[in-house]
Amino acid sequence: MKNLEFKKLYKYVLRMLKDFKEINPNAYISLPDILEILNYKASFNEALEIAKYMETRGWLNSLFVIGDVRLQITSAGLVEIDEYEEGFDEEYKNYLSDLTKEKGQLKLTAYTEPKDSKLHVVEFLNGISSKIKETEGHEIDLNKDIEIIKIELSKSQPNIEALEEKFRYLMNLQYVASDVQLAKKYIFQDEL
Amino acid sequence: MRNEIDIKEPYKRVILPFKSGIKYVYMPKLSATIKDPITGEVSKTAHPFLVDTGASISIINARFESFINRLEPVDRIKIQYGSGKKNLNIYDIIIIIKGIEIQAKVAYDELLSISLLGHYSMFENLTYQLFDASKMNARLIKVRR
Repeated sequence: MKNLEFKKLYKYVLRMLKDFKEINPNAYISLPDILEILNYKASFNEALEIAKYMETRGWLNSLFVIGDVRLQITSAGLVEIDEYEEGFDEEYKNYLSDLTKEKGQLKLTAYTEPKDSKLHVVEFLNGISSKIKETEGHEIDLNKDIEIIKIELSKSQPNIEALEEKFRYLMNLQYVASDVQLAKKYIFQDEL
Repeated sequence: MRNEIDIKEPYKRVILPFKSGIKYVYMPKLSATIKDPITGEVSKTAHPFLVDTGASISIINARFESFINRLEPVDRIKIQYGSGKKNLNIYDIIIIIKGIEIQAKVAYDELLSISLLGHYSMFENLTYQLFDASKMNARLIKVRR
């Protein structure tokens, strides 16, 4: 199946959020999960940009949590869907039907509590740690820094400056620099 | 009675690269996009704007270049930046923040590092700009009269 075109992306994301609102009006849905289900390949950075744009238009509320960006449609988003061209709903349903044939049942998780998003970041950090162990061995201090990052992340209000300091040392390892950069993006979500 | 406009945004972290080491400060930045008031066309991307109460006019930067190039400038202005001056084109646009549309005259400076929201035709049309450093959020409010 082809990847979803960008020009249709906003509409499909919004339409999917509408379906979820009808099931659970208070829940937030992970945008990276939606993008994966819709067959739209995007980096985490791109997911942040998409969420910010759609929130700017007033179509949704977004929760930027560590490791994830979660969305909930607003009444302005529902009005926007009402103004889509005739035939859009059928096109969307056909697209989902094709996806179901390819992937089986489409499953998305509804979130009401942000803390579980950190698990994703911890798993990602474990991957970085494994790469460092393979190259440098088990005793290197940088792996201990990753453990400290994980402990700091487990707090309800992590000390961002302390995390940044630990990441600064990790960035010196060229072979994990891009992974470390992505981990920072998950946590800090700074604008470029 | 609810406010006519009430936009609340958390501060965003900004890096200060001191020679003695990197420091951080949290500042009032928000995401916005722009709309052509004549055609109704909206830019397909949103970008950060600094809520700058020291700016006399809003200025947008090159992140909106392809969109702004389709519009006709309505005026020119000489802007004072720090110790230098620049002549910039002025455009009539609508700035959209969280679905709220505010018509404004903005200058365009392709070299500015971040777009700015300023006083002329922007803050002067609102009632309050509130900056709460303890809660690290900013609010733009227009009270319903």
